[in-house]
Amino acid sequence: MNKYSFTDKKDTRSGFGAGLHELGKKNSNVVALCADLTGSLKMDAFKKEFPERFFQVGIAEANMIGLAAGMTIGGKIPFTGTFANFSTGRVYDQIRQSVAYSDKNVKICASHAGLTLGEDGATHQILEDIGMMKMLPGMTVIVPCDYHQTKAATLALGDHVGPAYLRFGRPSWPVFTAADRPFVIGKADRMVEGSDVSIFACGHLVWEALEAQSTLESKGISAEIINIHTIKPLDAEAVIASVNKTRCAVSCEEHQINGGLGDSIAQLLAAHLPCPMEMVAVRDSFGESGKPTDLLKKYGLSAEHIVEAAVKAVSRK
Amino acid sequence: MYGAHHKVDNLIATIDYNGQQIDGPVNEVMSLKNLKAKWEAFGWTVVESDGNDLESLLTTLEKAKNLTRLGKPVLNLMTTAMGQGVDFMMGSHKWHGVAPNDDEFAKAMAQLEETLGDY
Repeated sequence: MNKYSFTDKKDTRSGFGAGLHELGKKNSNVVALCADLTGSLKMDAFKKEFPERFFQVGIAEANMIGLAAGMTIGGKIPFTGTFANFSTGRVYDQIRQSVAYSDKNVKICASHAGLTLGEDGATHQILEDIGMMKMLPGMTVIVPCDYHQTKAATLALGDHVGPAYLRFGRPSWPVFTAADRPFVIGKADRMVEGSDVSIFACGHLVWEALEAQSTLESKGISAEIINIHTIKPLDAEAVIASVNKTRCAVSCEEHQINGGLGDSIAQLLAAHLPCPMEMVAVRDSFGESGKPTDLLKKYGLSAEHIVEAAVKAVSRK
Repeated sequence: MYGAHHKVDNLIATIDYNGQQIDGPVNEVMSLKNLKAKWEAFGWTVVESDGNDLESLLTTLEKAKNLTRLGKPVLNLMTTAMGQGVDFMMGSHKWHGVAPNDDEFAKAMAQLEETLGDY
């Protein structure tokens, strides 16, 4: 049986909205910018309570990033909000020059990431954003797993200094972490202890990994589930400690196989602890329109695929 | 910019300008101000049309065609109303990001005497 359960399903973007609203009350330096997606990003509560700290920039994302970078000079902590593809690919140059290279305290908050965006289809389902953002020197990259963790990550970013990318999603998803579960940027969260295979997951796929863990248990395979909510900086110590014990690894992410969480883990293990590793990720293709769970199945990202990958990794030891 | 610079004068572009975006009317979210003057400043000839009046649109497109081969690209700035002719869709930005379900689609189609499908 899954070691975690849920009574509620909520979208992670609502966790961001709730976190931003709370952060607005705690810290008057927090400002929010949005590119014509206030409702979709759940920024309404912040906008309503702090209209003087909310900036509607229209469909002008490059301008939004430039404005945000400038606002940091006076000590503001800007949180920008739009879809993940418009937050990254569309404005990569502005992020590189004005935020990352300039080391500005901008928090780039990105919703509707990955295949689980669903019906809006391939044009909006960005699967390359983690790669683009993690390659930028000094950029922190966070991909929380559920509503509570997205809220916690948003709050944590209020105290974090430096450029950061926060990636979350659109669909209702199981809320399986407790509201008070500790969240520390850069510290991996071991969800289930195990001894045969280390499964590293981020975002919506942490739930799929937990489902896989229970199936693996019934097959006599003890899987350790580690939630890598912070892809950069990667918690190398936690990854090495786990793989030292299990001697094989599986990575799971709603992202291209190139450039994502799996790449980061593989790079670390290749250098320090070479071992069999399998990657559950999108295999160099674009997505398509469909229901989120159907798409995860079609593109090989659901619990059953994680089980297959884990069985394969164990058999290669 | 490229089209005007290179005198691409066998080109007619159309903007479907409904004045709405997902957060509200364009003039409230982030106004585009004088869009006609902006295109003209980029070296285009601009004709204006009503996209919800198909007869007058055809006349304007003829006019646009007659303005080609004169050294400049031509823009048809076509004003439209989102959801025109459907009482529960008109005058709102709501349908920018929402697709009608089967019932809503049937209701909408029942209110329309003429659609693009008739052309």
